[in-house]
Amino acid sequence: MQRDRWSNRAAFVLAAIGSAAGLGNAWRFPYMAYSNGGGAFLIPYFVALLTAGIPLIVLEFAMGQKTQRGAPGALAKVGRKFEGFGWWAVLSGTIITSYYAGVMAWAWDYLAGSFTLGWAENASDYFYNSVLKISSGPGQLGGFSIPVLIGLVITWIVIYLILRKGAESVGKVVLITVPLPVLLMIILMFRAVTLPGAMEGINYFLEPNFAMLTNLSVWIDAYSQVFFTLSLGFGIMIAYASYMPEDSDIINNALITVFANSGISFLAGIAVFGTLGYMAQTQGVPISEVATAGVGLAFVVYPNAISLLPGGSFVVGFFGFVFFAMLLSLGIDSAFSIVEAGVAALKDKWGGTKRTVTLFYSIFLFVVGLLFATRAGLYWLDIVDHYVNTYGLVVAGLAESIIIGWYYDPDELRGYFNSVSEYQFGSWWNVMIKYVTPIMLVVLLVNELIADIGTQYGGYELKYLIYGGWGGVIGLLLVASFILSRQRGLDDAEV
Amino acid sequence: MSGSAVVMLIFACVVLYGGLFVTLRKAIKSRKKED
Repeated sequence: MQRDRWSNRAAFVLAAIGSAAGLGNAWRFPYMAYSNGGGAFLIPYFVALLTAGIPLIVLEFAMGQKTQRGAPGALAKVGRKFEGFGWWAVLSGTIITSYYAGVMAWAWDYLAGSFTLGWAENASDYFYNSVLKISSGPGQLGGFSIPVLIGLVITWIVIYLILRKGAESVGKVVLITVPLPVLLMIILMFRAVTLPGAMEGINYFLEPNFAMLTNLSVWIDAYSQVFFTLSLGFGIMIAYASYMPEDSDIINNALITVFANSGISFLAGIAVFGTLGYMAQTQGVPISEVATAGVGLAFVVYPNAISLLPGGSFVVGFFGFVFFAMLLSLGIDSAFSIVEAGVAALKDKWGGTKRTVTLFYSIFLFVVGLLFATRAGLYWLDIVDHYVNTYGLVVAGLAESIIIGWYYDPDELRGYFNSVSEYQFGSWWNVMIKYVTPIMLVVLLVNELIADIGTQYGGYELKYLIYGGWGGVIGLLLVASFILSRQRGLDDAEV
Repeated sequence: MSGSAVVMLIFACVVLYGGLFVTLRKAIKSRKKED
């Protein structure tokens, strides 16, 4: 069967950038830098990019392009016994998409709310009571929140429409969804830096505190930020690269992806902290009182800051629309890229037409994601997100680097990607893949494991952590990866 | 903004956007060569 192909190199690079640059660039990186030494955080961040981010993304591109398979098929070509780790990566992504679509559903609600200024009066009340209609805890599902359910349906329809023709349709969509959030972010940045107090906010983001570099947790945070921001460990980059001809460039494509992704994060940092600086000054509070990350930043603090903008309700609605359109366009290509990684893996294994596999896989993920549209959705999202990020993705990245570094000849893979690339990597890449990357990922894993064993994550009751974490994520990943890897597929039939 | 914050701003811009510029130029040049 003819493999799906990108229409050209630019389509692939844009799709890879779109996948890497997601909601985390806007809501995780700025706070991560601010809380880890400000501008000084850039040093461990760049070191982490060089020693783990770039070597791993090159590894994923090379595996996909060389084997012309998604993650499970690519690892199975190294050794049949490794296929399960590929399924582990893809299934981790599957779980993430199911709730990532839920976050995008909230963004649709806020985008619509920009016309009525529903969130402008009290964003916190709007978020928890109007959008989420939040219940008292994870045990109180309380039925669906209709606004979230509608947003979820819209998100999945959009994802299916984008993916239904595979690389051909994705290649066209990313021409819009990658430059658009950058353009919107630039608009927000210019508005932010012209506000009173903005420079004070940006100063908090960038003023270096080099003393913090002696703190191990700062380095752990830098490696974790780099690992998550590049969409590593999902099998996405392997699947996307498998749609490129085997003689296409690898190293320069990876470098463009890395620089563009980190450039977007940095731009977001300026826009976010400029706006927070203005908010802090307007409210007469220190920046530490308004600085936050994640869901709280995107759906409570930032909308509150926008509602304080001078110029009346049109200006507030306009910048609200720009901000949520930016979040949606940032998030959509990350979301569909994870789905595509799963579709590629399923098609490689059992065949089927692109449309059919995409349709059924999307419906399956929509149904799984219904949990996050309930009134307890935020609690479950918090629990599942913690376990799948901490253990699902990190284990997948660790497995990839150990399998290639120790069970496959890294010189052979390096010889391959050097032979097709515009830049060349020396034997330092082998050292990174064999030693540095696995060691740092083990440190990340052990660090989180100690924290999780010592305290119950988020203060949730243990039974919910078992349903949504230890059992629902880790147990499920173990069992499902094992079962899927034991099934006979098309490649076995060829043999 | 403090002087050290400005230095970090310039440092980040040079590394990130300078790196992006150099890698993109290389890709464009190699495409022209292929044509």
